[in-house]
Amino acid sequence: MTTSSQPDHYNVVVEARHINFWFGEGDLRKQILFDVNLRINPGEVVLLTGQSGSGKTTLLTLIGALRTLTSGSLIVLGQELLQATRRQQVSVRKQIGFIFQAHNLIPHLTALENVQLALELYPDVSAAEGRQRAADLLVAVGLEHRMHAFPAKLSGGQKQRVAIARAMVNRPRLVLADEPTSALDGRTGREVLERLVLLARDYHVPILMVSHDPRIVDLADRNIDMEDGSILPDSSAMFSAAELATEKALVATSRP
Amino acid sequence: MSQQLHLAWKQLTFQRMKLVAALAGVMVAVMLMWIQLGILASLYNAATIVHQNLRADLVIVSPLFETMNQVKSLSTRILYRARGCPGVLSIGELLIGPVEWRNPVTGEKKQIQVYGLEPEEGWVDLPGISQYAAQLRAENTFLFDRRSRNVFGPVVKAIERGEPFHVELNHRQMQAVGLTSMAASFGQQGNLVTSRANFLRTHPGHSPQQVHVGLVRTRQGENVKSIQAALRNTFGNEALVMTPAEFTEFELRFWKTNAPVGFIFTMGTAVGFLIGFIVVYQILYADVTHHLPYYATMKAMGFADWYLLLLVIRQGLILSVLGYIPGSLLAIGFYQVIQYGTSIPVGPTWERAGFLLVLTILMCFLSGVVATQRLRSADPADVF
Ligand SMILES: Nc1ncnc2c1ncn2[C@@H]1O[C@H](COP(=O)(O)OP(=O)(O)OP(=O)(O)O)[C@@H](O)[C@H]1O
Ligand SMILES: [Mg+2]
Repeated sequence: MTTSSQPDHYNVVVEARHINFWFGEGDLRKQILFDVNLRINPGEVVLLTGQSGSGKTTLLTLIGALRTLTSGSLIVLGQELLQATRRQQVSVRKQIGFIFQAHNLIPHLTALENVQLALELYPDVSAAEGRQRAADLLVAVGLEHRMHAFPAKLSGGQKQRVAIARAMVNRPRLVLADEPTSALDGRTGREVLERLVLLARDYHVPILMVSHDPRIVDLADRNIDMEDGSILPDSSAMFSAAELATEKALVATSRP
Repeated sequence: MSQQLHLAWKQLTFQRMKLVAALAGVMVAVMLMWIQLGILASLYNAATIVHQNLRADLVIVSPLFETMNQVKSLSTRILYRARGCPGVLSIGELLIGPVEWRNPVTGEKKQIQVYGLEPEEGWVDLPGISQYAAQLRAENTFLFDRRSRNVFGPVVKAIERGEPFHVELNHRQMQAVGLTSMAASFGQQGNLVTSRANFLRTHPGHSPQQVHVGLVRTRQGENVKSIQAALRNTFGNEALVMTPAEFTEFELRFWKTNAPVGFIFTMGTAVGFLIGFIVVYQILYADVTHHLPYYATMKAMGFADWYLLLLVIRQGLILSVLGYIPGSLLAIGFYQVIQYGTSIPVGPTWERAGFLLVLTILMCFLSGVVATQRLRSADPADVF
């Protein structure tokens, strides 16, 4: 590769090599991921697509240290997750902002408190500072008028925006989102995703986002396509957008 | 664990009905434990009220003696021998035995316990004895225990009006001249105190050469323990020589081993504990189950397992303190009812309050700990 890609290589956010993954035991053991290789560079917004059952969620939970990796190598934010201890897993999770398909907001906390909850992980953040940070993020996602509402009193789109604020409040080094807008109608969904991507670019946080929706491809820097547990050969799993462009140029110039 | 959000408190109070149910469970448990322990303590106290108020240095009883409720006699010769021992200042007698009391209003016959002693010698420090010593010297007089059960007729009322109360004891006309305060107990519905001479009048079968409890006062500055040792040495297995404190323990040991009350009320306390444990456990368990997706979410966010564990246990602790306070107040109210209904004095003590607070916290803590087992099924991989 070109020398300019070297610095990138040293602070890659996610580097997956030869990941195979199985569910179940014994006769019921079924392989779900087949030799997955993937890289995410700082600041990239990467879209992960593929048919239902192709293994997107499984891959995401592995990267998020929510599942234990059994083979291959997966370095996330500098931590090798193969044979990582529970403590190491928890420490990786703390640096990731998760946005789930269901908003999973705590019902007995207000929007503001739900965002503040993530800050309980950092006891050195003072109450006042935590409140301010949470409030700022709710403003950023356009919820300045609903800060003290309980989740039950928020619309689906509003709840998902609270979830985005909650994922961002700890200044994560990576955001993992799994169909965050599948419960929303097309327009609202797009709006929510636009806010997420905008926010991520502001904070220079890379995002790996699973989505079925082909209409949002334009929001991402690149698109990784999965099928039956493998990453399709033509998808740009290992290259940054810039590298891809150089590659294409090279290919074009080498043509007769 | 930073607690800027008071998460446990908010989770607990979010659903009011659930909170009320949990608190009711803790309250019932706390009340039950208060009542059981209170009755037990007061029964033990009532059984030893005379023992505790003895103003003697040593007590001598028959080797067959087990309880004041059913005394065994001792020859007065033993007492005279004791008086001859070096260091002994004086000796006294306590005679104990039931008589038949005929309620003058209803004609009903009831058994009542009689304590006979020389009233001016100050062996037993119960209200009224020295004050009424002169009246008790007169024939056929006695002091009535105002804490006797309410089956003996309007004695207390009459005396409080300043009128003597006439009653037939063992077919003998007697007169209550004043009141003392002891307690109804396991065996006895009521008590009265009279002079030694009057005791002998109401118990014609009792030989004056026999006593039930011999009392010893030592000379000032003498070592009671060494006199006790000397007396034990002198009497061998003819008599038991105890200090009043040992005598109290002796009586308690009898009730603890021979009456099921201790067992019954300890079981009652355990049942209270169990009820509280189960109610709090059920509620916390259901709560964890209900919030499982949120706990899983918190795990995914990077909250360590112990943080969530503490979150559940903290709820248990909040419940314990919140339930303890009203439960205790209610129990103290109940104490009044019990005392009114049974004439058994039941009073709260700080010691019991502390003990029960610890027990209640332990109860809710254990519930929380067991309920956290459920947390294990919160799998952060499930939330996607
Ligand atoms: N906990 C599990 N135990 C066993 N098999 C599982 C488990 N979770 C997922 N699978 C299987 O693994 C495969 C991949 O599932 P996964 O959820 O990763 O797909 P996906 O690409 O996210 O699909 P969708 O787009 O429908 O969300 C599927 O065949 C699924 O049945
Ligand atoms: Mg999925």
